[in-house]
Amino acid sequence: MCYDIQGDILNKRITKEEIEKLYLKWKTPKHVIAHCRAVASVAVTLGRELNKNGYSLDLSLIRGSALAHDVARVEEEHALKGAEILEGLGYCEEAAIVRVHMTYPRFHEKDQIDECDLVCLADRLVREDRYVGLEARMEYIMNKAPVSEEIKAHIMEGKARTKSFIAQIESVIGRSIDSLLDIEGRLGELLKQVEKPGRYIGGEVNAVRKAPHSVRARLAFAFPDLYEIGMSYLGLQILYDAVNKTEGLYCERVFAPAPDMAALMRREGLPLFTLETKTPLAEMDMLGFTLQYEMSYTTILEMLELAGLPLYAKERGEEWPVVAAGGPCAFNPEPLADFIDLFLLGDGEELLPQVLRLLGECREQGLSKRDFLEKACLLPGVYVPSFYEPVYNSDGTIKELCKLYAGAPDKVLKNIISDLENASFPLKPVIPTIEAVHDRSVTETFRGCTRGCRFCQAGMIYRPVRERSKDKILALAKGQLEATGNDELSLLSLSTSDHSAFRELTLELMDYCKEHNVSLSLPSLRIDKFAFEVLSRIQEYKKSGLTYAPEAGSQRLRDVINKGVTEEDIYTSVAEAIRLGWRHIKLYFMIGLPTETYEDLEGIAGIARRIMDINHEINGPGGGRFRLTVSVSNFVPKAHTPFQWERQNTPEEFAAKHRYLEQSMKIRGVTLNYHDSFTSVCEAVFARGDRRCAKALLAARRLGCHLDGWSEHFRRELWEQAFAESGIDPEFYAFRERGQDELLPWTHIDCGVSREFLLRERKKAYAAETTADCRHGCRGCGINKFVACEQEGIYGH
Amino acid sequence: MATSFVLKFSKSGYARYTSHLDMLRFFKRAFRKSGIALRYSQGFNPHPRMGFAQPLSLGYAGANELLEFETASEHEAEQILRALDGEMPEGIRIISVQAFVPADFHIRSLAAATDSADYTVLLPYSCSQEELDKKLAAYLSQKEIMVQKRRKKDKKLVAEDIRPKLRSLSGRADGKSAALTMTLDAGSTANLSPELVISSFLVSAGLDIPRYKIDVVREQINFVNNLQF
Repeated sequence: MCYDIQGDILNKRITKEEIEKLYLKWKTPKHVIAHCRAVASVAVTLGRELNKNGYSLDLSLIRGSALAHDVARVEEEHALKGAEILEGLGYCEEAAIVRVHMTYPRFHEKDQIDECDLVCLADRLVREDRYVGLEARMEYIMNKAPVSEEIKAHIMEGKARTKSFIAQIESVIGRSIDSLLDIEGRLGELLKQVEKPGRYIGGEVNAVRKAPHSVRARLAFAFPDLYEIGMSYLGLQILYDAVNKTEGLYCERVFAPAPDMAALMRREGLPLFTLETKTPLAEMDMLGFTLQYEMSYTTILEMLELAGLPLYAKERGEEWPVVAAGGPCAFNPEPLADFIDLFLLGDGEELLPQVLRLLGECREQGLSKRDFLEKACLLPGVYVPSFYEPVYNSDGTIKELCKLYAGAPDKVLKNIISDLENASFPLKPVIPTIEAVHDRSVTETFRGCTRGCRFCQAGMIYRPVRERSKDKILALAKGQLEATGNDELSLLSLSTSDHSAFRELTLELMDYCKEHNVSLSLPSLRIDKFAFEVLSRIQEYKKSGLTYAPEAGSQRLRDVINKGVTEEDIYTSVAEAIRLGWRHIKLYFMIGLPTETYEDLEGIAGIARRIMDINHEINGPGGGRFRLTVSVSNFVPKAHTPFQWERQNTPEEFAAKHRYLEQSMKIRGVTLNYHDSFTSVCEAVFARGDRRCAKALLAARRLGCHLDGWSEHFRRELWEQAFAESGIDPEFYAFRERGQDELLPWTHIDCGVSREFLLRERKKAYAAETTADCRHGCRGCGINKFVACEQEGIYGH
Repeated sequence: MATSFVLKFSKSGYARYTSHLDMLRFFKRAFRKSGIALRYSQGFNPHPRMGFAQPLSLGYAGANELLEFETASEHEAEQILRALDGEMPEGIRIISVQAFVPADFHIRSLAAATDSADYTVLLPYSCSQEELDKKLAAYLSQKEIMVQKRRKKDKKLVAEDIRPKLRSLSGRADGKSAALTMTLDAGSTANLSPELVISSFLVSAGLDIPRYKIDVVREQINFVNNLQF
């Protein structure tokens, strides 16, 4: 033991940084360093598993001594020499382990397993830089040099002792060490038993390979849905590219396994792993979940479970990765606050690498997770939920938010990239092996939207509008198409037609795509005269459906939600479309909007009938083979919108409205689709929920909920049970109108749009007054306090 | 210079879990990316003139798989090899590209000329060579080997004798595992899936080895007229 002057035990542990210096000083060969790192990772994994089962092993001691165990490998008596070096620096406990690692006589009994046992065991399971297991390692030793019978017997004896020690550990952790450490060896058997095994193999073209031990911080980017969904998501490609471009950082990917694979992994005790290197998530420095949709939350919990991580952040000590989350749903992070260590708000392509670099530095300097979080919360856009604690009133509303760490900011402002033109964008996206939902190149044209629809969260939280120039977009699109061999290109933004150079951009892209046999797709296109010109050229042969989103059935209600579309616009445009040969029109509406009456619903049916009439006028009484699809979704009030105080309709109200629409839309040639109303209730609870909602999530997960965004996996009865068991009442969270002065759970999260603006917009909504696009002049939303709005007033007042 | 080629590649490691359709998609994309334009079929829904000699089952490795294709303009085989080489994902490796005109050999395509295929099946079965030979001899000495097979047209299970389609079968044991080598009918006239041989052999030998512990490699595809690649 080492004592300082006061006689207290010094618990200082050797840091990664110091070990790096030792490697340099003692000329430790590269392959030996790689071996040390592999031993450290095996030993720490075992320690972590034991700690999960009631042990309290010092994982920093394990890591430090394993990393240092062969530091003096090129010296005579390297174990003794290594111990001396460590002792000289005051690391006596590390020294004690290093000293005995070559001659370790016997492992402790099950109830006394210590750090030294694990380091010495790990050393016997690793050959060079890989886990190979005891058998292979022993075979290697026996064959390395001719040995006498006596030594052979000695080795066999040692092997038998090690074997029985392994059995003891396995009886504690309840799974085989092989299943924990030899994922590659076990995976093939699993892949032969599941559907679409291509989801789990990685190795795609443009996937990034780095030597895991050569980087300072490793991130597993976790998408809480299946591979083919996640791989269609541009945000993943942007962040994967941005992190991997940064030296010293490595971003790998992990997706939710489908139910068949998840069940098999559970049965076989195989932990969730990254696609790139098949590393268990527990060995990462950080897991980063993307929050695209409230109904993915139970899948996040399932992924943590499959990774073997404790679900609650407070139960994850130093040995576990930092769990981060970002994306649109992070703007009300509270329902996940108990499970996540830090949230990243706003634009991530700069922030994420910055946070990872900081984590790497902290790890190297031997700083604690807490130290890291204290530093991280000072970065713009980083929210550390454990630094805050809400206090509730007796009626269940929030009384105040107490800060538990004085250094944390009172309000967390999202991170904003002001210069999108020069922001990182992937030219070589990973190309999915199995067909993704969208198998195409995607180029982001601008971020943000200025139309100001009052129900739309994206329109508020992504402000201000930041454009890429036409030339930049063309260069990115061409670069991507060349690097991927894709035959489809799509432009991405919240409102394609709103790009200030949309006309020129589209015309040039059309020429390029035509020349290169690439099909161009322009989602959320405003259907005007120019759009028809474009569409008639690019969709010559596949006149698939044309989509309009009036969102509400009457002009009054469209004014309430500030959706600047008139019925005349739609009818003129539909007539033109039908004349040009379109045979399928799709309409999107929302029901349950604030101030909605049955007259507004009748308006939806009225629009459908009018469109059918227009078709008859053009195509004659038979109408041709014309189809109209009307899709109706249920309004879910979202945080940071003018409707954040509104009540949601109950499932009964929704059901009645669905019935009404079904009755009034029995029109030949018209198909009505609507969404499950209980899913909408769950969305509403978590979209505006507080920290207490974590209990409902956990209950739902315990009952087996996962992949809730898939109608075939969503189970209403389990969710009802989860709400009942956890005491989370949808009445309070979804169907209750909030008082204007109520402290909302996301009050401390700042997306840059002011509360005053939202209130003003809400008032105008009730007066059915519209607010014009801020390209006609500033509407005072508040974002320009933080960043210049380049698009402000460009159309003139 | 030519416009019609055969590409030989291997598929191993995790790439073996890429399906036939995904492989087609993958090669189509690799060609686009490399800038080598394929010839497209005429018609309402044109598709590139490219196809595998034989589809490879999901999960099988392939040591010498063949892809035939036609290019829109003339190319050197060597140039195509170089252009495609950098585009392969982990586990797919191009072995060679050679010009090949099926008509010169009086065949329509490689797919139509496929005759048989060689496979290696790796079983985690610890036994002596003698024991394995005995089991194989017993299996092969059956006059007929009846298996249940699902018919394509009506999905009905029908009994079929696979013995006539099993051209050769032998094995090697090293005490830890056994490797079976077999040549089976392949192609459009007569085709035998290794799965049927594996399952019927396990039954005949009284072995209880789960399918997921068995690995299959297709070593080579053989053609009529002694065509070789």
